[in-house]
Amino acid sequence: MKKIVWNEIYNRLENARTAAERGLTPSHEEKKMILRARAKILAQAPKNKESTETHLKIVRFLLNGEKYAVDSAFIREVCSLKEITPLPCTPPFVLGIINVRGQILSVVDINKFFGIPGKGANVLNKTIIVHTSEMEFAIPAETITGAGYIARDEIQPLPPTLTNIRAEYLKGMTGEQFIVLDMARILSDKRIVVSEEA
Amino acid sequence: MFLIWQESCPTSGLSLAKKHKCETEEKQIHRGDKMNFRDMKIGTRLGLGFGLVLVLLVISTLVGNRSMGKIQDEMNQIYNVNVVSMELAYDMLDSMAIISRETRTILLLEDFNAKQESSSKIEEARARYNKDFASLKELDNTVEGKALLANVENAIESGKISNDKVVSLGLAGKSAEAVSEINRDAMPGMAKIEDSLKKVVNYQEERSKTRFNEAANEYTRTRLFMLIAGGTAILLGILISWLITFFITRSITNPLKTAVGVAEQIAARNLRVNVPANESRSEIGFLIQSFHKMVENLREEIRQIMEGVSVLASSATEISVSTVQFASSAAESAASVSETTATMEEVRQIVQASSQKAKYISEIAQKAMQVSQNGQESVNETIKRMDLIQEQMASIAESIVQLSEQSQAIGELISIVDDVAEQSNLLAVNASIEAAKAEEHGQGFAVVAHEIKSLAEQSKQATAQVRRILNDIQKATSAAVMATEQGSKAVDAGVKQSTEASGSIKTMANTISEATHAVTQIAVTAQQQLTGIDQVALAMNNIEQASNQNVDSARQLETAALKLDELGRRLKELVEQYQV
Repeated sequence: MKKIVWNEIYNRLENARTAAERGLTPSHEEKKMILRARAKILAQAPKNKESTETHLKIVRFLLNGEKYAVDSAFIREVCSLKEITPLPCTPPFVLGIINVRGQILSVVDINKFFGIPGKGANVLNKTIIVHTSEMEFAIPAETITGAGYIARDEIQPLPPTLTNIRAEYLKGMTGEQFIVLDMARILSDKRIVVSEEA
Repeated sequence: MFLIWQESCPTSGLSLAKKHKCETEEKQIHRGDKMNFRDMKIGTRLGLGFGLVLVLLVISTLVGNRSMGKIQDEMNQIYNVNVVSMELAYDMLDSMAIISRETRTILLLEDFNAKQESSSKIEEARARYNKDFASLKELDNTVEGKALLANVENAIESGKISNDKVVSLGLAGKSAEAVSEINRDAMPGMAKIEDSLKKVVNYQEERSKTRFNEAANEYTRTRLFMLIAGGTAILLGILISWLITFFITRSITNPLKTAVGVAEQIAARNLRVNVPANESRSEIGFLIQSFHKMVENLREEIRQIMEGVSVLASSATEISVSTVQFASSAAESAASVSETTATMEEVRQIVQASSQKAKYISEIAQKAMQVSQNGQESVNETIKRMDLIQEQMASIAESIVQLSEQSQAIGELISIVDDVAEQSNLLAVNASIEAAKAEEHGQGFAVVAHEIKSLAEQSKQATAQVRRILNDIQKATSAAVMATEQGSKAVDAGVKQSTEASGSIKTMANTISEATHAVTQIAVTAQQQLTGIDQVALAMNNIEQASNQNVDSARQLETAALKLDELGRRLKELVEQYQV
């Protein structure tokens, strides 16, 4: 039978306790090191030589396993998505409506709009609010991976598997396999407008 | 004479014929029917021979006796009949003379009284002769005699009539008439009577003579016959004696010679000898038949004896072999008995040792009883301690659960931090979007936004790390709780085991008590065993002596068997000399 060495156990407990205390309040040297590393990063010259002519600023996000990219010019803001109110008598791609700081916006599921079944039932707790001068709605997203630039010539044509799926709404595909949405077309499409007469 | 001859002839004739027949029979026996004669026993043969002679003698005696009887009869007849008849006739003549004389007296006498007297005399004489005549009539039975007597009667009747006339005339005194009457009638009448009576006398005389002659003849004939019969008997006796001597000797000696020959062959141990068949029913025949049977029986017996001897010889050999084996087995058993005796001594020592061991075990068992009581106390103490451990385990489990709950609180805090990081990230994205809208002016702002985003990501990573650690802690606390539960269960099992151990120790104590009792009994039994073993040792000594005697006996038996074997072989040799 294994003999219990109580002293060792007590020592280990003591070490853990001291380490915890010290972890909550980092030491002077540690603070210095962190600040220095940040300063180093901040001191670097900005690399974005990308101009609007050659580069496109995009925001990348994930929706039910599909990777999408949206031109940031059409994005008003991104925010967390809470309490979608379902709306009856709407097409399936209209999940419902949300309240963003007092403004009512409809939530349009891009996958369902494109007829892509999508995989998984991940929690859609973020949303990207897109707009033009005439149209404004929210696109739900799992994760917003971030904003960035991409060269226009890097956008490749779509693979044949995706061409039949509303190809007119897609600009192409990035090298990282993100589908670049043609937001101007989507926002100006009449089908996305739910009219009472229809 | 002829009549008498006729009477006597059949007897002699018969006897002669009988004799002849006997002789022929004898001849038949001698010559014709030899088998019959041979079949006769010697006694029968002798009896037959001498019986024949005896028969002849008996016949001659009978014939002689009969002839003598006949002669005597003749003599008796002569004396009792003929002589008496003659006397009676003479008496009648006498009476007749008296009558004639008295008649004359009547004539001569004058006196009437005298005449009367004479008349009564005449009557007297008449009564006499009437009586005599009656007797004479009775005596004579012959026809001739009866005729003569009838003549006499007639003469007497007629004479009487004339005489009565004369008498009556004489009584009347008429003598002259009476004389003439006498002369005319009475005299011739008297003469007639006398004559007839004389004739009777003569007849009787004649009969007497005849009978005498007959008797004389009979005598002569009988003498001759007896001479012939006696002679024949003597001759036959001699002949039969010779024949008996010859034939009987021969009928005995010949088969006896055969028997002697056979007996010599048997004496020479030849049993293949052929005994000639002899179907005779005489003693010799029986002897030969007995010889035949004897030889056959001897042959059969010798054969059986041969078989028996061969069986005996083989059996003797087997017995010899068996006795040799028996002797070796007896020796082995004697050795085994010695070993057994030695083993018994060892057993005795072992039993003694085991007795001591039993005592020792008894002491140890008592110690074990003490130890088991101590053990029970210890176990009870252990159970108490186990209960304490159980309480401690409960408190440990409680502490661990508290720890787990606290780590959950940390998790909640981490969620808040995570949420903040998320918000910061969104803000950074928004900021960068705004910076992009500001074009050239928003470049510095874009850098800050990027930095904020990086911080948010770092804090997100850190919270993920913390979450993992918390997970680990949760797992560890679960493991600790489970371990504590296991420990608690182990302690329960320990308590149960200890209770069982307590029971076991109690049972053990009881068992030890029983064992102590049993060991005491074993000690007692071992003591009894020792006594028994001593008796067995004594018995084994006796058995050893007996087995030694057995060995001696086996040796003697071996010798005897060898002798028996030798005897069997000798017997075999002896019997094999017989030719069967």
